[in-house]
Amino acid sequence: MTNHHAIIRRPIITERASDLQEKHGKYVFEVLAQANKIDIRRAIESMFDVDVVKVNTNNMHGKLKRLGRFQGRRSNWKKAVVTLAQGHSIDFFEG
Amino acid sequence: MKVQVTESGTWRRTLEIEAPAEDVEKRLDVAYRKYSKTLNLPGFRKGKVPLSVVKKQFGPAIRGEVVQEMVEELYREASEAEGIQPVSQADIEDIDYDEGKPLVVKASVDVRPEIQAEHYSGLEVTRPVLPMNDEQVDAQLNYMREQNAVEEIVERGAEIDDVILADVEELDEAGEPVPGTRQEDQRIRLMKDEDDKPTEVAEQLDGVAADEVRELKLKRPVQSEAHDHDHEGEDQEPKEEEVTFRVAVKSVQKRTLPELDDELAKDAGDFETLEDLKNRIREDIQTQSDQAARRRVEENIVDTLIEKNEFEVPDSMVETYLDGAVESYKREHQGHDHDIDEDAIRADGREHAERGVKRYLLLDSIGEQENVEVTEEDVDKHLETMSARHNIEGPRLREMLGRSGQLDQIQSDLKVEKTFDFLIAQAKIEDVEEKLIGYFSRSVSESAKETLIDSANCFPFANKEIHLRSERKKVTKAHGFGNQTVYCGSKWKK
Repeated sequence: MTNHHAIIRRPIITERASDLQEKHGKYVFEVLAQANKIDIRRAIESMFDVDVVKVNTNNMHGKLKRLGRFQGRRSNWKKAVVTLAQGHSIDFFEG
Repeated sequence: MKVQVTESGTWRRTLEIEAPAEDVEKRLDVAYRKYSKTLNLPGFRKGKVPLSVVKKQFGPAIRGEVVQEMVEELYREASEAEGIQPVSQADIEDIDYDEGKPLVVKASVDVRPEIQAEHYSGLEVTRPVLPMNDEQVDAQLNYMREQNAVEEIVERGAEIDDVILADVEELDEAGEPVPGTRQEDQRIRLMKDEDDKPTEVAEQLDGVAADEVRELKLKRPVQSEAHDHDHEGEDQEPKEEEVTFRVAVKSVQKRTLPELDDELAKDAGDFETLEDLKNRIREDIQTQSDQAARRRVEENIVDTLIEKNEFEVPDSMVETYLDGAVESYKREHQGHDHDIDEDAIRADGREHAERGVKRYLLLDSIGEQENVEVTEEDVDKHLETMSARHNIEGPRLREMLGRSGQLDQIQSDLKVEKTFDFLIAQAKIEDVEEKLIGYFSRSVSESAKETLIDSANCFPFANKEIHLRSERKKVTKAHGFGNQTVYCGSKWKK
């Protein structure tokens, strides 16, 4: 798992995520469902040049979606909450 | 706010305005908060977007907007504080802002010239007097007879003064009709030219009778493709080509002019006798020439004033004046298919515009110095004559004018008129007899004017009227401002 950009899909920027970021220095990403915590840690560290203290992951179930009489399901995905070391930060809007 | 004003031209000021960093920060903060309240961003409830996200994502755009807003405000405040009366849009030359640093703005603007008109009492000016003669009255009467002419179909060959009703089409060299040139039921009048000789058309159609077909050979100027304004007046002899027309005569009509008698007067309106009508025509001509004389005196005064008060006018005022001229030219020529050459209008009108600006500034200054004021009664009086002329009730007229903002215009016009009243009362006026040569329906381009002036052996008048001594000259192409009248005064003879 060397392609970091394939592992880290996108940052999640929501009310909750920005709260976590501001108060606890935690950053939330959507990541490759197959990636493990170690892959994620390496990818973040090398992509943003920061120290990662902890990675928490959640497997998210895709939502059930309905269009008229057709019912479908969005793909499952993995969410990672990355805690950075004191004094480290990521600027999403600059990269 | 710190302001520094430097003179960058006679009537141009450059303002350097500095707003402290804290002021800018405060404004920015307000703007960020406003945005965070209204932003609709996925992942956030409305109004719950944290400032940090707003700043990061929309910072530059908001900053630009706030700075622009502040620049306008600062400029307004600064010019007010420094007592600057701008006459142009401000040129914002430089905006310098980095976060945490003061905002520095550099703006340049033309200011209203502060002039003090001098030497304006006892001006020596001439007044053109157009002596009235019976020729003018006769011409008007003849015109009226022409208008009321009776036409009847006659069974004979056409003569001078007859009207022919005919279908006309152009023929090509092979004698075949050119498609699209056929015009039915054309009225052709057989006339004499100024030298009392039949015109080319009249000569070739002489004696033609109903149901006859005749071919007509006429010369017409070759239409050149290039619309080059610079060459007007230079090509004295435009190229001509010969064209053949086929005229299929349908009928010949004889024109009978009404007798010059009391009947004509009664037909013309509320007149008892021919003498009444003549008197009325005389009165009208007199009023017209009086008005023309007054206008000319006014303009002579302006020219003298400009001579005695030398000053520069800001370019922007001239440009604004030209903008107006171009606008009104466009309005006048709406729907015409020829191209409007704005640059040519501007180039031709520049001198005129400069004079217009000077005229305005000088009259304004004199009005100020002499406390010329327009009272309510003046306006009322003016409105009364207007309402009588346009047949609109006074109160309604006032409301209409008020709504379109013309009431202010009337006030300032009246002020100008009163200023002129004052100046004329003070001036030494010499009457000069003049002869009216004719009118141009449209004004004339610079180069055409020069030709005219040259050929007429007259000096041009500073206000761009042309004073012709004799000879009627043809002006082929013309553009410019408003109507112009051609006069000739002995005073301007070379």
